[in-house]
Amino acid sequence: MNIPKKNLLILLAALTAAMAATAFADSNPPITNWINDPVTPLAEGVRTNFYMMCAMTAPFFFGPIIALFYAIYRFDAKRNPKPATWHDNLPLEIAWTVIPALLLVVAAFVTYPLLVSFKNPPKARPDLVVDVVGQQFFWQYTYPRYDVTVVDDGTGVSPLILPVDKVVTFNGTASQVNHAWWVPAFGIKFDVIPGRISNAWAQVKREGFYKGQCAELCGEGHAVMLIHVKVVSDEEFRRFILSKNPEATFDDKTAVAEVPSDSLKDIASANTTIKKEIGQ
Amino acid sequence: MSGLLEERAKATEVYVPGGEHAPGHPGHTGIMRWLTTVDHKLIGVMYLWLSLFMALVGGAFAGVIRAQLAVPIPGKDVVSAAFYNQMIGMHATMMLFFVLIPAFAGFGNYFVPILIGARDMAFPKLNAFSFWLLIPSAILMFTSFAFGATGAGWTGYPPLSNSTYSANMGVDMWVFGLHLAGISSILGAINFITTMANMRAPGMKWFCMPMFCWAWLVNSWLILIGTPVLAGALTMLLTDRMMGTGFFDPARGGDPLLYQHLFWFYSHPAVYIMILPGFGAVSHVLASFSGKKLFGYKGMVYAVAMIGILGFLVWGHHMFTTGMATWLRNFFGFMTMLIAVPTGVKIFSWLATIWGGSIRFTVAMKFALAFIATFTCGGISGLFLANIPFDVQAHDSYFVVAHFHYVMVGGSIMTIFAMTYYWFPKMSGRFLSESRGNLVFWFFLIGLNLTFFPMHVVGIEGMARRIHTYRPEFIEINRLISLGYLFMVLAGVIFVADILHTVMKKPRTAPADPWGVNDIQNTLEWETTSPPAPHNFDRLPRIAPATGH
Repeated sequence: MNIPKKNLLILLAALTAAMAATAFADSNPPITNWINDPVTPLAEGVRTNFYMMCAMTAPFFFGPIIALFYAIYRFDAKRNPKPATWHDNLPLEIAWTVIPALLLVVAAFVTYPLLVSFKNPPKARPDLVVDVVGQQFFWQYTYPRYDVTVVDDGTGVSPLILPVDKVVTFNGTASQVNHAWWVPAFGIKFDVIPGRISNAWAQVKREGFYKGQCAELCGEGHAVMLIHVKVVSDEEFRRFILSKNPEATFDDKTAVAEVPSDSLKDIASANTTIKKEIGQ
Repeated sequence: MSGLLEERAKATEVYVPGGEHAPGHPGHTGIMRWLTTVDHKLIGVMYLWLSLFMALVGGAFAGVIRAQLAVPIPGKDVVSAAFYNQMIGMHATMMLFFVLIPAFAGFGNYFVPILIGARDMAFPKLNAFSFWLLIPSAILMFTSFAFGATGAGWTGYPPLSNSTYSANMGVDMWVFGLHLAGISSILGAINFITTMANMRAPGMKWFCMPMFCWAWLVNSWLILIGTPVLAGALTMLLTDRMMGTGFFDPARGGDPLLYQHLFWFYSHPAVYIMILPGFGAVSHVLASFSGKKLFGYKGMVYAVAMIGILGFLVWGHHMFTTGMATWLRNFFGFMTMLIAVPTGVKIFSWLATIWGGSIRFTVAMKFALAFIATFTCGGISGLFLANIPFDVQAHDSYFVVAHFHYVMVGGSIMTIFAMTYYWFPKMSGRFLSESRGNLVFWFFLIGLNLTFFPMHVVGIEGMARRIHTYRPEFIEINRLISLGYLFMVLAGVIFVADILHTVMKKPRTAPADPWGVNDIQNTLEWETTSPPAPHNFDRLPRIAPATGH
């Protein structure tokens, strides 16, 4: 009827070991994401916020689990042949309703400033605006100010190039189906939806090569719709722009405000017979 | 449930299984008895067989997914990307609409009337109709593979699911199939609500109803309010596809985002539809095998009701990345966190129920105890997802896959196992094997944690969901996940074999109260024979005025 206790312990130990092995499994190619390698203020915010949630929820996870194991041990019919008869305790019930509710209010307040900063970049006028267009199955990026367009076909041969430490605003839409632009190391992800323009911002603090991928099912090529971002120095960024468009100028005073460019609006409202204001 | 049957001493002990009282349409035997029955118990059993069969199908689909992800080498794919996308959508559709919902509907059909002391459901013929609607629905789902099943996932977001990007008939068949399943659910919900409102035994006040009935009552309201909205969204998708309307087409003044709002207005409450009856049943199991009464019965009832109400105010948390306004994000995020409060009340009350008890470790109890742990894990990861900055990163990553599998496998499926082992002797008069049940339990528990726990890690590391291939850095962890799947398959095989063996070979030996729990629990299913007579009770049970709660 019963598996001997020893076997149960072995099974539990195996389970724990398997989980631990998973959690610490070392992967060969470097992974760029917000938890190992947060390179923007938002990604750092996400990480801090995540650790805060870990700390706040830990008692509510380990508490019940420890209580459960203790009860399984202590209130085994062999150890405790006569069950208790109580089945109500109003103060206790009120306590375990009110205390978690209050903690959640705290969590919500702590998170709020970060939430606002997702919508509000540190500069009202970003240093650079990039138009992101999701297509089946590649990403098309346009720097409207420099009239330069690059296409990341998923192989990483022509990545999106961004200057380090500059505030970049992304305005995104899609021309056929929904996609989502996700680079974990930047701490942002935004859906690009036909007919709509969504946005996000990033200020990448470190040069490097960052990976991402489409995060909304978009068809057969969804899995290979990979994102590659190369963050370079300002000089190298200018060289890249000039190599694509020798007539580009870098006069900061004429930096475009964070309005979606006309070309992006055209894509978002392509084939629109009923013209409407595209906005948030 | 402290009401005591006045005529308990005279309770039916004379029913001969398979004898002249065999339930079913009079004059029919064999297969015709099942095809023509309007008896809530036979209908319940048919729901359960359907659910078991579909679990094998849905599990096989999951096997295709795990096989492909174990060897994601380009050019050596197990299945094509297109077929993989069909698999993920149909795996979810099968598991949600043909496994979880029918399993709960099966146990609900069988036990809600008995637990309230009724003779049958309020509308027996409607009840049979609800069940039989699922058959054409399932046939539509299966035959859709011949035409290219839907590749837009179970969420079916347009524009991917519209006639331009999913030109084949699969999406239409999927929509019609869901429509039939939805009608079945709605009719069932009406039946449950009416039954509980009107057919409780004399003396059974609302607050004498067992937890399982309360859970089903709230569940029925969720189905009744939510499902028509899903039907609306699917119909709009259908007319977009077939009749040239433009509800979701920006080129014709529509908006793809509208579909997401309508879809999640149903599909968020739907996740509660897929677990509330399990909450109810697990309360019975934990109390029974602890030898105690359920702790905080009224608080538990309010908690279930609260989960139901809040469940309608959180659909936006599936759409945090769509660029909604900060205040709206905040509202949905906070409401989602708030659901943790009644959910916490339930977990704490279950622990208080076993606290001080005298626990008998039957297989049913093991599943119920393990459920507390695995469901807590799913609940806590839900709290993380309510936290918007993190959710934006976790959205559409494997973290979300881990979360909802912990809720639906670690939650719902564990409760379904617990219910099966708990109520099987009542339903068939035969005990399932406890020793084989132990194997099922341990293989399943290990398999489920091995499969779904690493998904948290790989999701945080940045692996998106619904992809048939991935960056090489995720390969080890994915192989581990695929290994975990095999453990669950093993559990499933033993479980099905044991059920078939028990039904076909074992004699009916279960007494009216097979677990010896009725002196403390006083729930009505133990007052009648195992299996119950067609009319459930020889005399209408009368419930003494409640003294306990």
